[in-house]
Amino acid sequence: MTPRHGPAGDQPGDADEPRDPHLLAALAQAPDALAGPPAALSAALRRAAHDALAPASAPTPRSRWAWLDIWRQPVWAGGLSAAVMSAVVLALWWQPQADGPAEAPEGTADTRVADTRRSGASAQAASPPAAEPAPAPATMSEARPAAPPAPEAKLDPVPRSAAAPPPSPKPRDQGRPAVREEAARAKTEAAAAPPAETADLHAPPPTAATTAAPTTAPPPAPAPAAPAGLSSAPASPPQLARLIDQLRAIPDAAAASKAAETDAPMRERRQAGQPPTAFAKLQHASGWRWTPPGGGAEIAAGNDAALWLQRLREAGAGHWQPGLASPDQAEAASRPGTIVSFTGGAAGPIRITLSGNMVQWHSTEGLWWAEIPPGAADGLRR
Amino acid sequence: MRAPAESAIDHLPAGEPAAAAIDDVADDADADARTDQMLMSAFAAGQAQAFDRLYERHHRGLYRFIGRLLGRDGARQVDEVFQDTWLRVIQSRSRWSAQGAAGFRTWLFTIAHNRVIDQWRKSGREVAWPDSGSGDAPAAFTPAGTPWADWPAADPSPAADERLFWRRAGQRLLACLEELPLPQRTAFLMHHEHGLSMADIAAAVGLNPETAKSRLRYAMNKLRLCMGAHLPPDLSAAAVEGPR
Repeated sequence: MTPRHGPAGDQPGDADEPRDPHLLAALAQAPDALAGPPAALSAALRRAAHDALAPASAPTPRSRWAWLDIWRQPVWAGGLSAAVMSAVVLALWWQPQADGPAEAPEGTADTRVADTRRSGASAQAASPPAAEPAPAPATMSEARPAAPPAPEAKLDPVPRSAAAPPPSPKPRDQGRPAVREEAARAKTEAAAAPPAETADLHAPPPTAATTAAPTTAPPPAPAPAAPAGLSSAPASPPQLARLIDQLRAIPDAAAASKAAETDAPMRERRQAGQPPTAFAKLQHASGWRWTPPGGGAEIAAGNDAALWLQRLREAGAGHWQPGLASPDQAEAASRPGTIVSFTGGAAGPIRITLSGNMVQWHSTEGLWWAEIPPGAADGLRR
Repeated sequence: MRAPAESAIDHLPAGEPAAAAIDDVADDADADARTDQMLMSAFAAGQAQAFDRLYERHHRGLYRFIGRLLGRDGARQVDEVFQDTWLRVIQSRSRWSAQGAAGFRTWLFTIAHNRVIDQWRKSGREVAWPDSGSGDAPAAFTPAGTPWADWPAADPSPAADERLFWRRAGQRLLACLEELPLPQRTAFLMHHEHGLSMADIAAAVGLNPETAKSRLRYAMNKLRLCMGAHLPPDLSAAAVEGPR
């Protein structure tokens, strides 16, 4: 490394404020120097711009209806007039015959036979048109080109849903008593018995946490009952004590690893009351997130972050390995260690140590989370 | 307005992370004298291709700008702010002629800056510090021992060990930026990375040029202190490649 001065900073606009070349060089080599918007977002923005200009470049009404000009020609106009007149005459001729049987008074048998014949004939003639009206409006409505949505309405490429907390099930359940009852029953059961990860996909975010307290997740697979704290409801003190005992009892998560040597999907494991493990079809982010007390921006798991320590082990592997940094340069800085790289279809446990009272695990298979009251897991610090 | 920025980027060391910036430079060189103002005017007049060109020229820089302003805590809102900024450009195209002497880039970064402030406030973060950005501009500061003198130069083609050094420096600089209050961070990024003049920065943030200059100097002094403290001159390649 040759010590030397770099070139003098250039002057972006003011001669008295040159730019520092060293800071410039550092900026250019920063990890996010290659960061750019997602391709889908760029495409959506370009499309929005084009759509915004679309009305100006749309054909005028004059050009849109220009084809009607052909009816100004005598030949076409005469033909159209003749066709219209014929249609009117036919309609007038068919109308009395079609309505005749219904309006005709009861008469002799001959009259009734004649009416029957006539009504049969008219029914045959009228049946095709009668069958048409029903689909006709639908066909017209389907054939009508859909109005183009507003550019803003079309544009939603930003993965806001990823940032948003899971939706509450209440609005969805309001109109469904059975579901409501089921949810209430499940809640009651959750409070009564220590369930495993109850797979509450719409669990609310944590509401209170104050202390830094590392813990270890997931709990051992062969545990007869999952830790009480790993439910969708905050753990009560007795349940928490049991949770802490069980977490402390994890020697090296070897049992969990053994139990995780299965290809059973996460959903089935959850239904079976087994503890959470990491599943990956391919490489994907495990997405550990922690919401600080009182809300605010979520904190991502990371090996070198002070608050988090994430370790994972593929089923059958003998050692724990750290989470990988995202291959995306932009995310590598902000979300280090959140990639779980497993062999396709494999499973394995994830162990995290965290600060706070929230353990949250997202995966493609669902969401598992647990809430631990503030300070309760202090004893788990390692 | 763009030319000075590009000439500055030419001085940067080559390397993978700098590829985007270099691409931008090459792109600008092929601009065929169609300035941003002309492109925006063409877009306002109904030429959609002009927007594509504008977007192509600015999307990376704007994305980095927003990302660095929001910092690590706001990393998840970068896409949203980026999208809102461009949508505002699209929706305000008819008023473009009223922008006056302000350039498109200044206008674009002003919009982005305002969106970032909104996002900061929404997330409960403090936007302005009372003791920053006001008063006389401090004198330019150089850390004791002038560590810059022992640093590798911002060479366009640095050696491998120097490239490692600058990558580490870039990481450190992002961390140092996180420690700056938003107004100083804004002034530094607008000035250093995007080449806005002090007048443009002042217009973008709604201040007079002297206050903007003061904020810039505060920012540079803090950054030099921060960088000098964590990047000692004898930093070797081995140290750079140390365990995470």
